[in-house]
Order: sequence, then structure tokens, then C-alpha cells
Amino acid sequence: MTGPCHEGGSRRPIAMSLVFLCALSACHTAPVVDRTPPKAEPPVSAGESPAPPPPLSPEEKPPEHAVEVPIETPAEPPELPPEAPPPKRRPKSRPEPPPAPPAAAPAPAAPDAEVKPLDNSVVTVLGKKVQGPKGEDMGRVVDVLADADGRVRVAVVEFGGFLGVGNRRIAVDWSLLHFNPDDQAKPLTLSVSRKKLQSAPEYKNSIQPQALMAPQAPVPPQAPASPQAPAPPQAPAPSQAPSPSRAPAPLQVPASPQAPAGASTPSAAEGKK
Amino acid sequence: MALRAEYPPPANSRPAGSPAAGRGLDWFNLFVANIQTGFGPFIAVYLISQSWTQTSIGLALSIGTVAAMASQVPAGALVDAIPNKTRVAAFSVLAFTGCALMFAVYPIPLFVYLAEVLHGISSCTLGPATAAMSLVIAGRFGMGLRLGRNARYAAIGNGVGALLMGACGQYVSERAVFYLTAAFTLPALVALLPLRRVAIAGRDLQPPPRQPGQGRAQFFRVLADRRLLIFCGCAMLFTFANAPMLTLMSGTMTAKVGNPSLLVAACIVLPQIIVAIASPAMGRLAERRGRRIVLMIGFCMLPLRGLLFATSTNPTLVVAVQALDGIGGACFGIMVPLIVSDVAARSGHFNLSLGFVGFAIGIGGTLSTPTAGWLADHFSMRTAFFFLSAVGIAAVMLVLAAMPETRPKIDADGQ
Repeated sequence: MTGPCHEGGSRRPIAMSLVFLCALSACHTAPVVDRTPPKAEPPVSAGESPAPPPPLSPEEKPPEHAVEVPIETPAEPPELPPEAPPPKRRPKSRPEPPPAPPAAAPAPAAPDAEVKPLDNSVVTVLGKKVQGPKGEDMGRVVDVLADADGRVRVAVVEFGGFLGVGNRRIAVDWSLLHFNPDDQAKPLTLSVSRKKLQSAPEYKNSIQPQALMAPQAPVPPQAPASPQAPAPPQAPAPSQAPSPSRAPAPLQVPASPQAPAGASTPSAAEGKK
Repeated sequence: MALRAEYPPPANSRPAGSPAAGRGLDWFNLFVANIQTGFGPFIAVYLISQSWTQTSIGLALSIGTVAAMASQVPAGALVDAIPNKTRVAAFSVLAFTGCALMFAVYPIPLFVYLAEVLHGISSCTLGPATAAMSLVIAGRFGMGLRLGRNARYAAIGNGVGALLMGACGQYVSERAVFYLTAAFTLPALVALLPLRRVAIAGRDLQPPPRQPGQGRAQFFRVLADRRLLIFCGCAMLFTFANAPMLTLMSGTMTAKVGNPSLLVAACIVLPQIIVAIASPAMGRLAERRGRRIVLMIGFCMLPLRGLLFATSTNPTLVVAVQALDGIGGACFGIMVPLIVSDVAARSGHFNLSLGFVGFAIGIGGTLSTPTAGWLADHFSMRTAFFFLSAVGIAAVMLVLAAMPETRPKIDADGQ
């Protein structure tokens, strides 16, 4: 308040430095909040990466690959995820390691994609539009969550609202998502009815860090028929079990479903490990 | 203009505006509101579509909030120091063009953060500049009517802009929304053309040039004015109670109705229609009966709305209750610049004072959304609405108990 009372000339630098100071301090605080989910991931790649690629490639492949491999092998497991994103445009995006999942779990592509050039049937998940069984708009994928075993458990889908007001986030079981990398029009489909998605309890993670883990549980909509469940064989089972109990929940306020969800659901317990 | 014929301002207020300038200001308000619609919460939706992560989006939005908050008061002081307010307005709008294009053309983090900062700062210069132009055009005693008009056209711009941009995002692409935003800055600049001479013509409305020593004392006198401080408190409480209501309610609605986007659109557009209808009447009421009564009407809508939201989630009722938001918004939107002009119009610190109130509003808005969200998560939606209603009641009490009437007395002020 004392700053601006000088003459106009000296005012501006003060204002600007204030702005940038505050912006800088925001840089410190903001990322801390969301850091929790990614923590689950280092183990993810840790579990998978050491096994297949390094031994294979040196033998099979020409020198180019031999060059690539050393880069990956010496790296400690926790450091792998940060290395994975660089191919993406933005380096600082922490939660993006999820893009590793396409390679990891359900991928129709080869499992040892880390070394060989990927064949092109892969699709970016983050930010992609999701379509329902009848081609209806089901929002976009905003996040992907994995458990300690490295399996991608849920995708967080945001939909609804108008100009960003009233959007709703729902965590959906990974096995409910189907990928059609070759279909430009609808690369991702979700085999849940729009109604089910709408009435599912909301996924929350932005309010406070403690709330971060609990919402991992919501695997809300039940799997109609048999999802082709490519990777995680157990996934469909837990998701079907909790769903009946979850169904009435959305009628209450979104706050209450959280508690039961964290406590009772088997998948929640797994996720928290 | 019909306005002036109906309500001739006293001679000593020296309104400088020609009818053309008044119409220019109308259109300017409309297009600026159009532009600002694109920079709202929609940015998060757009960045998601660009594969941004939640962390980066949160960071970008916080940078914008912090920039806007931090520049409120300095930007007000800056506008005070620049005699030609029209030029300030024009540069602010040009900055918006830059922001929109940065978003649309190349949404990498650097540009997005830069655009957020730029938008925060230029919003802070644009608001006071618009209010100052209004003061020059209408004179101090026609200010209530002029602000009613401003609010009407801004509401039309908001409503039309929301519909256009919502449709654009839905049927064309998220990116196209920002091209549309950039396009709207052109007519806004054109609307400023008839206002070019206004700043010069209205110079005699400004106080005589200050002596250096006097300036600082006066600066503190203005900011320490009891009326301004009390009004800052009222404005902060009002925004605190008001800001999260629609967000909370529409999140619940999205789960229940068949076409949530349409419902939320109705919840956004209906209040704007009400504002457009009610604003001129509110401005007239403020001139005839005083500011307190208008302030009370607007503030009473808040607890009423909160209590109704707490008791029912029937979609039809929710949309109907949003009409109250329109009335509240009309009153509040007019009262902020009006009361500030009552308090500080002739001190030479009008824009600084406006920035001060804007800062209080910013604090209220920033704190309330997380607080209400936390309450909704940990207790219930109903608790959150009861809490917001309680804050609204506190705001009403503060107006009732402490806020003095600020309407200038014509004879007392005449020179």
C-alpha cells in the first residue's frame, strides 16, 4: 500500500515485481498439491522396465539400440518416469507419466515397445475425447491413475457443464475404456451409458492433499456385459462388486460417498498400497 | 438520449459526453463483456483439450488469479496517473487481443502463463478506465444512470457471448473460441472511436493538479475513508457468498438432468437477461432514493438464494432462483463504481479506490471457492449453502449497521 504513493514512474516496477513475486510463489505452492498421485507411479515403471528390455535389445538390435539402452538401464527406477515424458511437448508435466500406460497395460501393441519403434497403433489418452456406446459425447480424459503394481486402474473423465462451469469428474475403470487408435473419429470409447456416468459420485482431488487417495477408489459404473479387459484380469471383478452399493450414492451429496468408498471398497485398499 | 431527457443532470456536474460518446460506451461495454466470457473457466476446458495436465492447468489459473489480485491497486493508481482514459481502455483491449491469440495459436506453457498475467493486469486497468470514462461522460450526478446503462449492455454482452462461445466450443472447436474472442476485440476498439475526445473534454472534471506533498496525504485520506473501508468489507462478503454458488449448484445439477450443458447455460444466461432488464431501474433508484436501498435489495438476494439452493435441487427451481442472482448482480455491479465515485470522484484517486475495492472483491472470490468446496466435500452441499447464506446475512447486516448513505448532496457539492 505504501508503494504506489510515489510518483507514477516508480510505481510500475513495484507493481510488476509484485506480480512476478506472487506468480513465483504460486509456482511453489501449486504443484505440491497435486503431487500425490504421481507418487504411485515410480513403482509402476520400476516393476516393468527392468525386466524385458535391457537384456533383449543389446543382442538383437544393431548399435543404434545399443546406444539407447544404456540411457535407460543405468537410470534408477524412480527416475524413469521423468524420462518417459520428454517425447511429449511439455517437459514439466509430472502427472503425464500415465502416457506410459498405453505401452504398459491394455496396449494392443507390443509389450517391449520401449526398445523397438512403436508400431503406430497407439493413442494419446490425456485430453482425448471419449465417446459413449452410441457415439455420444462423454467428455475428455483428464488424468490416468495407476496402482502400486503398475496397472492403470482408472481414467478420470471430465464432462458436462457449459463454458467450464458445472463440469463433473468421474473416475472410470480402465477396462471400460476401449481404444481404437486407427479410428480418427472416435479413438476412445467408454462402454457405460451416459446416465450411469452422470450419476456416479464425483472424483475429487483438488481440494486438499489428504483427499487425493480416497477418490482413487471410485470405480463407479459397473461393467455391462464383459469388457474385453485386455490387461488386468482382476479389474472387472472388483469393479462389478462395489457398483450396486455405489449406485444409490449419487443421490446424496458428493461428500458422503467418499468416506464409504475409501473404507469399504476392495479396490480402494489395493489402490492405496 | 431518452435517458438525459428524462433526468437532466444538474448543471454543475458538467457532463462531457455527446450522445455518440454515450452510444460508443454502450457498445464498448457490450463487446468487452463478450471478450471476457472467453477468458473465464473455459480456459481450463481448452487446456484439457490441449493435453495439459491438471497440475499445469492449476498453475496457469493461479498465475492469472495472482496477477489480477496483485495488480488491482497498482493498476488503479496507474489509471489515475494517465489523463487519457480512452487510451488506457484501448491498450487494455489490445492486450486482450494478444492474450486470445496466444491461447489460440500457440498454447505452450510460456505463452499461456504470459497471457494469464497480461489478461489479469489489463482487466485491472480496463475496469477503472471504463468507470472513469463513464464518470466523464455522465458527470457525477448522472453516474447512477450511466452505470445502469453500462451494466445493461455488459449483461447483454455476457449473455450473448456465453451463448456464442458455448456453441462455438461445442460445435466448432475449443480453439475457435479464442479466435472468436480475438475477433471481438476489433469492434470493441471501433466502439471507442467516438470516445477519443472525451478524456480531453472532461479534464475540468479532474481535480486541480496536486502538489507533491499534498498527494501522499490525500492518498491515505482517500483509502482510509471510513465509507470506502466499510464498502470494501461489504463487497468482500458479498463476493465470498456469491462466487461459489453457481459452481456448487451446477456440479450437482450435472449429475441429475438429461442435458446438463443446457441447464448450466440457462443458469448463466438467465441472470444476464435479468441484469439487462433491471439495471437501468436500479441506477435510477440509486439516484432518487439513495445507494443504501439498492445495496440492501441486492445483498438480500444472496441469503435468499443460498437458502433456496440448500432446500431444493429441483432443476426448474434452480434456474428460477438464478433470477435472484440477476437482481443481486445488477445492484452490485452498479453500486461498486457508483459508491466509489461518490467517495472518491473528486479526489483524483477514483481509480485507485476502485482498485482497492476490486482487491477486496478478489480476496473474497479467491477464498470462497475453496472454502465452499471443502465444506461440500467434508460435510454436505447443504452445509456449504447454509454457510454461504450466513456469510450473505453477515454482508446484509454490515450494510444495515455500518454503511452510510453516500449519495452526494447537490447543493453541498456545487461549487
